[in-house]
Amino acid sequence: MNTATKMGLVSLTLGWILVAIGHGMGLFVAPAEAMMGDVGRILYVHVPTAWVALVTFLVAFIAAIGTMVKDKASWEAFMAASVEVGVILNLLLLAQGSIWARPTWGVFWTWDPRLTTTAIMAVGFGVVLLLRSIIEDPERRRTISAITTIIAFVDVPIVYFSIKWWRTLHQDFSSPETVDMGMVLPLRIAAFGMLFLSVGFILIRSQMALRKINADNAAPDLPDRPEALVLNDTDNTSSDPTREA
Amino acid sequence: MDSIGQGMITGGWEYVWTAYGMTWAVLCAYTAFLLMKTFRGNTGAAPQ
Repeated sequence: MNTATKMGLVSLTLGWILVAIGHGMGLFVAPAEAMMGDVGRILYVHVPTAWVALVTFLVAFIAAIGTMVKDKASWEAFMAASVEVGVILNLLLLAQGSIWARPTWGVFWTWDPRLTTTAIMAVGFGVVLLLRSIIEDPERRRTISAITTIIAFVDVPIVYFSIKWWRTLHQDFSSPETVDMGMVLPLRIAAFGMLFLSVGFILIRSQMALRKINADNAAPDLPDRPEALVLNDTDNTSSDPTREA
Repeated sequence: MDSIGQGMITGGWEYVWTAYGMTWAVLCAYTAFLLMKTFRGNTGAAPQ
């Protein structure tokens, strides 16, 4: 087990402890929200997930640039891991938000700018994962997934600022000055917990991805055309005018 | 859910438990996936 994996395991352990404390406080210690009542407790899972998802995509973006500039497998592995973890958090935050929206807005989903851009973000980075799974050539996979990650990241600042740029149903930014300390503390603990979890996920997943990338790079190049593998067929191939070149 | 749109929302714990339960289920499942792959030495690659 290498250092990155060990650090990942430490981060995961710390993350789970903080998440358990933060969520426990959010459920049983924090006061009910003035308007939302107990439903407001969903925010102790939703908000940290959203923050950390955006940070994770920022890491993916930096790793994608590193992949393009340095052309190293370690950068690519870091990018692939960050995108995967980011997509999981993104889907999670969409689902949490929908569950919260039903009792507070009356609907599970509405085409609000914040919600719509967040859904686009999930699709954009989901495309990166899809491309990585279907492109077999390691060089093309590295370049195309890095470019796609950079393109997908364009939506991340739009998600963040969407509540400022458009009139939106989604809440504005909160500030610790306007939120009761009994609510800020579990939110912060849960946020750091999710951050450590995300770091642990990325570190461990990137080592798995790195092993696969190195294995793919070490594999011998195969010919593009299956017929080129057929032995003792050279004469027939060259003499057959109907055969595609 | 007892009331919507009339002052403070009351009840709604079923939504709270659903959100927390789903979050923990997903995070636990991904943690278990990573730990299994790490300790079994699997690359995560599809079988050839």
